[in-house]
Amino acid sequence: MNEIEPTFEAKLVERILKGDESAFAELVAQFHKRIYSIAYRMVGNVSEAEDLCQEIFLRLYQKLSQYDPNLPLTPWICRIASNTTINYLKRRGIKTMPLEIMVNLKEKERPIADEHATPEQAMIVENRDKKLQSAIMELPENYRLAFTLKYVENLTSEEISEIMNIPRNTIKTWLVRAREALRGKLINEL
Amino acid sequence: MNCETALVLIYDLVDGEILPKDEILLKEHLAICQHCQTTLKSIEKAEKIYKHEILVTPAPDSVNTITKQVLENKNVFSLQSKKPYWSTKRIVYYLGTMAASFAAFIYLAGSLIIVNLASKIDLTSAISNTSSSNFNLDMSFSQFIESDLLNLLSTITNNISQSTLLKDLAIILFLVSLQFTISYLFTQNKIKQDNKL
Repeated sequence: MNEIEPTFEAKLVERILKGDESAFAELVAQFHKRIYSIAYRMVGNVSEAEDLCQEIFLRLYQKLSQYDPNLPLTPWICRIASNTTINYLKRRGIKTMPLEIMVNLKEKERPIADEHATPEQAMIVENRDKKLQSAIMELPENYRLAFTLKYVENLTSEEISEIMNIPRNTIKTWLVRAREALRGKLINEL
Repeated sequence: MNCETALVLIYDLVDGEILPKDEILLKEHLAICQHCQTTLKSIEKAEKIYKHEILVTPAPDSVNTITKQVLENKNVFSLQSKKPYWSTKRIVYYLGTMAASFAAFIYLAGSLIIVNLASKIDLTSAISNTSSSNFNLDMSFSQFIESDLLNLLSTITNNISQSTLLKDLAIILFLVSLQFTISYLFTQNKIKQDNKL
């Protein structure tokens, strides 16, 4: 959540606004894995996650001039990611991806769960990830987004509430319901 | 405390968001409830899985691809350039709202004026005055227009005082300005919604 200091963030944004392309590359590198994870967990497949990820960074680039350098960059980026994802899902018009599509993903389309895992560990993690992702995709979109933001960005319910512009108690309820649903699906893994 | 309440507090506990007084109550419940102890352990294991596996590693070259693709569009989505205020979208929204509200206000203003005139003019006597003198069944339509209808209109016009006209004009001006304001506010709101991320 706090990998880069606010002053560094402000300077980075300032450099981008002045047209420094390498500064934007730094920003993408800094946030890419987390943004991609949010996108993947929300849409459930690699090709759409890449499209959504690109759209989020494009939105981010477009809106950078509106960024207040006195505020931390990460929640601001999370808000853009959250809103862009919601708009993307609305446009796409499919609430959840059918389970069979998730299960039948080709090998090359699966995300890399852990770069340093042994083949056996990778297989266990991959199977569990498949179950986790299938369970996540069965959640309503608002639960899914709150859950994803919480664990990808390690946010509190208060922070998620501010990002999604939803009352904190509602977010807490969504998170409890989402996690109970997931726990029910992953019961054999626990 | 029942197990349902305890479940919510267990999640507060694992999130580090539990209030001290609730933590005491939860611990008291956990001390006597085997079911909730098992639930807590299960939730803690699940939390480890979520935290460990939620992040997904993208393809190695995707950072460069995204950077390149976004920057290639920088002429289209320029950071520094401001969009002109009167964009096509804004004009379409504005004209659309104007047309819709204009139709509504014409209807409203028309109704108001008719009610206003009806109360000021003795229409019955105006009609009877004109019809009784000149109208008969053999008269052609053009003759009717020339004689009776024009007489009726002139009678109505004569009955409207200057103050009534000014009052009606004020009502129309008020409604038109209200229409412009609503059109403006609606357009601003719509554009804002569209631009919302």
